[in-house]
Amino acid sequence: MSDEAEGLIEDTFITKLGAKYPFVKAKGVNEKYGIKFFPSVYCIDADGLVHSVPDDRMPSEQAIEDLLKSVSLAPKLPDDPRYEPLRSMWDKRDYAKVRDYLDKMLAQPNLDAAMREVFDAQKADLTKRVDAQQKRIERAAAGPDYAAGSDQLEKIMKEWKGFPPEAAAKKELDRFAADAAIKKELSAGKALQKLVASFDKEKPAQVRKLAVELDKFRKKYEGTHAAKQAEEMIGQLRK
Amino acid sequence: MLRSIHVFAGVAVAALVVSAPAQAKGAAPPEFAFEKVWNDGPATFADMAGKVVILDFGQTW
Repeated sequence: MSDEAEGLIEDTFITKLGAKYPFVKAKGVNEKYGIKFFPSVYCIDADGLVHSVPDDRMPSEQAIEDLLKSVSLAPKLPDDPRYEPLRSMWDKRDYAKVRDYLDKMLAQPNLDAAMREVFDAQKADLTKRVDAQQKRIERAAAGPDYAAGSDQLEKIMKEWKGFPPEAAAKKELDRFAADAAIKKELSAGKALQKLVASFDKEKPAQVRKLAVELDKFRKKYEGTHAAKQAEEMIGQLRK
Repeated sequence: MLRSIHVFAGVAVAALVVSAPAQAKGAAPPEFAFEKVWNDGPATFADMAGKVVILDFGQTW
């Protein structure tokens, strides 16, 4: 069964479901992790330690965001204090400063050969990241969750100020603003975000109230993607 | 640089018969060999070092 899974995985998850995230086939991994039900989720933090186990269910988006704060954004750099300014720029997501700094350093004719090699690799990494934003923009702009897409596009615009993705993200946001159907979805999606954020999902009484409010929301915004999301949330909350 | 990885591990039903205890929070998770990886991602367990990783164990029914 596990050996045939390669074709089955490919057919089910990659082809039919269209999974875009890394998908691994690993024999015996269920036993190693004591998996008792499917789907089961483990979250591993940046220090390589188990942060959450299957009984905790999927960590919230906020929990993942918090974990990501401890992850360095810098590409692999030698453990050398001379690279600290650059590491700091990466970690602050100040990509324009990274670019300007690299250009300035690489323009120095007498730059140490080892440093030049590192800076060349950094420059290539920056270019790769700029290119990767295009796919991120396409995904964010494709819908149907235009509220989340709009948040993503605004984030990209801010992070990539002075780079081509800034203009590309702005173009999509302008398209959102000019399209009545998208505007309707956007308005419903933002309202849903606001509604969900106003309840403490750790408290059972709040969860029950949220389910009631989501049901009202679903009816009010019937026909929108946000209404479908609300319906799915109700199902999850009532599990 | 990708800071988080969502890895989906497809495995066999038979593996459920004998299960080790679940991994504890705060412990280092056991490493495992990647037989095949779809989509852009880590080629080995070690490649996930320094990143936030979601290990999503699933089943092909």
